[in-house]
Amino acid sequence: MKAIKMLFLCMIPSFFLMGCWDKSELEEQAYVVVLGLDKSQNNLIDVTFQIANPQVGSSDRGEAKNEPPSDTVTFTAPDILSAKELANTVVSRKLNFGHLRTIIVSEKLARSSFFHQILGSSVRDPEMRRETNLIVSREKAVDFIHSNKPKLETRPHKYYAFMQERWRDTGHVPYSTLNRYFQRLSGELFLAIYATTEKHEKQFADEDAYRPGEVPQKAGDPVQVIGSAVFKAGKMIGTLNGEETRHSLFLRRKALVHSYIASYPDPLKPDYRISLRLIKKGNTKVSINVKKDPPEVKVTVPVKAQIHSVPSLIDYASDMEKQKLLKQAITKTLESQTMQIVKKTQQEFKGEPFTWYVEARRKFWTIEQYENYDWEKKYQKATVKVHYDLDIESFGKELKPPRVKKYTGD
Amino acid sequence: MIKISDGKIGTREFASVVLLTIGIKFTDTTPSILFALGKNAAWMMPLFTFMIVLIPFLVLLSLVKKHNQGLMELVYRLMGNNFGFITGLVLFLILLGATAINCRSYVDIVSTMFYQRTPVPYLLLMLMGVSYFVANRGFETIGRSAWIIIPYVIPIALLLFLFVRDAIDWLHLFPIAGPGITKLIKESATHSSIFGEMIYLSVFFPFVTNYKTFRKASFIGFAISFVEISLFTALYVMVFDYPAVEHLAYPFQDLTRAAAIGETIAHVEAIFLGFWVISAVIHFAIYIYITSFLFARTLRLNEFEPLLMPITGLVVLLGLIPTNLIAANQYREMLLKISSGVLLLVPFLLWILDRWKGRRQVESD
Repeated sequence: MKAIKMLFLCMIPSFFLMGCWDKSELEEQAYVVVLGLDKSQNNLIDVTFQIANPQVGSSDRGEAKNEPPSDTVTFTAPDILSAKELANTVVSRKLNFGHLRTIIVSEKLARSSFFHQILGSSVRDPEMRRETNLIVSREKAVDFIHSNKPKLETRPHKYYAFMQERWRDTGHVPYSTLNRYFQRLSGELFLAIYATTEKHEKQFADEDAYRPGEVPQKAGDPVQVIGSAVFKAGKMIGTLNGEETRHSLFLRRKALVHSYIASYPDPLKPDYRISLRLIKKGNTKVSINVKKDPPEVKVTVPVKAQIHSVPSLIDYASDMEKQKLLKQAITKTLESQTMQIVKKTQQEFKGEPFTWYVEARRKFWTIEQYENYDWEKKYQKATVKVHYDLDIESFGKELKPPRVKKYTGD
Repeated sequence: MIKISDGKIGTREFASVVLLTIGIKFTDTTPSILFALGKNAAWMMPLFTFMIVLIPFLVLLSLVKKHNQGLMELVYRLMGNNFGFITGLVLFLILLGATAINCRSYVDIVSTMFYQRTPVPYLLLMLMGVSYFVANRGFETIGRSAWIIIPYVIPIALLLFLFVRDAIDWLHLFPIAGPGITKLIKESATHSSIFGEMIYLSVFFPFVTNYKTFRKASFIGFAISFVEISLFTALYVMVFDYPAVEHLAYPFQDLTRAAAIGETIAHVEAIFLGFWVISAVIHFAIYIYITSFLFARTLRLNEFEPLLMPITGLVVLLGLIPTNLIAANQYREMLLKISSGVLLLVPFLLWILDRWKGRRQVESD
């Protein structure tokens, strides 16, 4: 009797092993870290998977000396899910999106209405996460992924994880996830990260007015990520350069980018530019008067500036008059640049990427009233006033610019 | 002090039971039903429903106090044998249907979000099998297990706010009235049986130590439940924004997937899945228990615990009828409309009968 009882007791653990339908062996997984989407013919898409090789970069490296850090394969299929299955005709391991954090879409696909169908239908897959980043590449996504060979990062997912942090630091690109994309489909503009590996070099005096590929760069990884792709109603309609993106992000009430370094013309010697760090002091105040027609939008951006370098060597720090002059000059530049972007969105894009619609919605009691009001239409004619509330906080750790003693002939 | 168990439960246990019966509803398909009706102002609906259901509940409470009896005893005492039987049967059928549809929707969540290849019948059997195991131990065990897990489940659910705080924008709640206050109140009233368990839970009166405990525990449970449901419904809108939130079938599970602790620890949904499954087991144990109890009392059987097994089996079979979630939701919508009327009416009917009988008794004396 005791033996039978013991036997039953031993059998209990086996019940926990039941239900192996969804088992997944770690060894048999292929973790896709980057997904590329391109338009193909006949409503098909080219889906590119960059699959990480977890052995590379780990202590287990010795086992797989000659294996590359990742494998990139492309398949043509009607949608992402079927491409995933199709990939297993080639890839020995089961494709898993558990670590997928980046989706790269070619501009050609993004500009077609097919894009929304592909993306909208893919989120049904429980493995697709709404926190995935969206990047639009100027060239084909498959070329982008193949050309991207970061020298400092062996493992591809690390590259995107670190780059994402840098994007937040610099504000050259927006923070674009699928969740934000799905939030902004009813006429608001959605900004996606814009990138390329091709060169279209240009030279500007203003160091953040570039679009990807235009940044003068010698050697290094060819990927340039700057500026944003503008989406309206699920379709790409234009681009913003790095500077315009930064300003757009500052105009949002709650910004994820709190500070960036930029240069502005020196008010006394306009040939030179002064570098400074702009820090957002608090939330941008947006007040919208919907009672007026056209509506009135008043925006106050509270910023403080830390002066970093003054190449003209003019002593702005110790002279209060010059400080005032500098402050006024920077404010004026900021405001005129911002107004240009506002004009551009009103006339060219006919919508706003500043998430002002949430402020406009506040003024209404019901959804019906808001929808009848049609904020996107009204915005195109709205009178917008942007004011920068700027304080110069510090002038760095030098009190005066270093002087070279002038020699008067010998 | 170790008290000798008398099969009855106290305030905290009964409050936990209430919380696990009603308070858990923000994790299932209830919010999606609310979003379809109340748009971005769906978070107000639980509060309106609470106020609407509170009136019949208070009426019922006064009767419970007066006669010191639970719902089913009151039904028979005041309605007589024939009408009592019919009312009991209707209450039983509504609850049986609700249990079957609800457990199917829980299984659908697990099946679509976590275990796609596991057959639905198997998941259904597992969930209800474990629930039966808990229910079979008796109401005292249900109450005590509920009290054991509540102190973990609620803080962990609230942690979600912390994990998604970057994505929250409270301005998404505007326009504040959504489809309009009158529409909100109307829809809350017609769908009040989403939270109809408030009425059903009073069948448990005989299992609670005394009237005072019952009243206190009910109010604590209801208050926390409705605030919780309202809070989370608002959270879904704040994170996903309207109209995107309307397209989500399972907002809670989608939110747990979006949750992250800092930059590196990203996939934390497993924590929530674990605690959610434990809560779901107790949730359905309570349902099976009430259903069996109602059935036994309707047929005036004294022993009802042997009924737990066949009722569980019946629930599993009924749960297999809808082919998918959308079909299940259609059944649910139908059931909600029918049951809302019944559940709101029964307490008033009992109250009127009580008055009438009381007067006749005074006259005959």
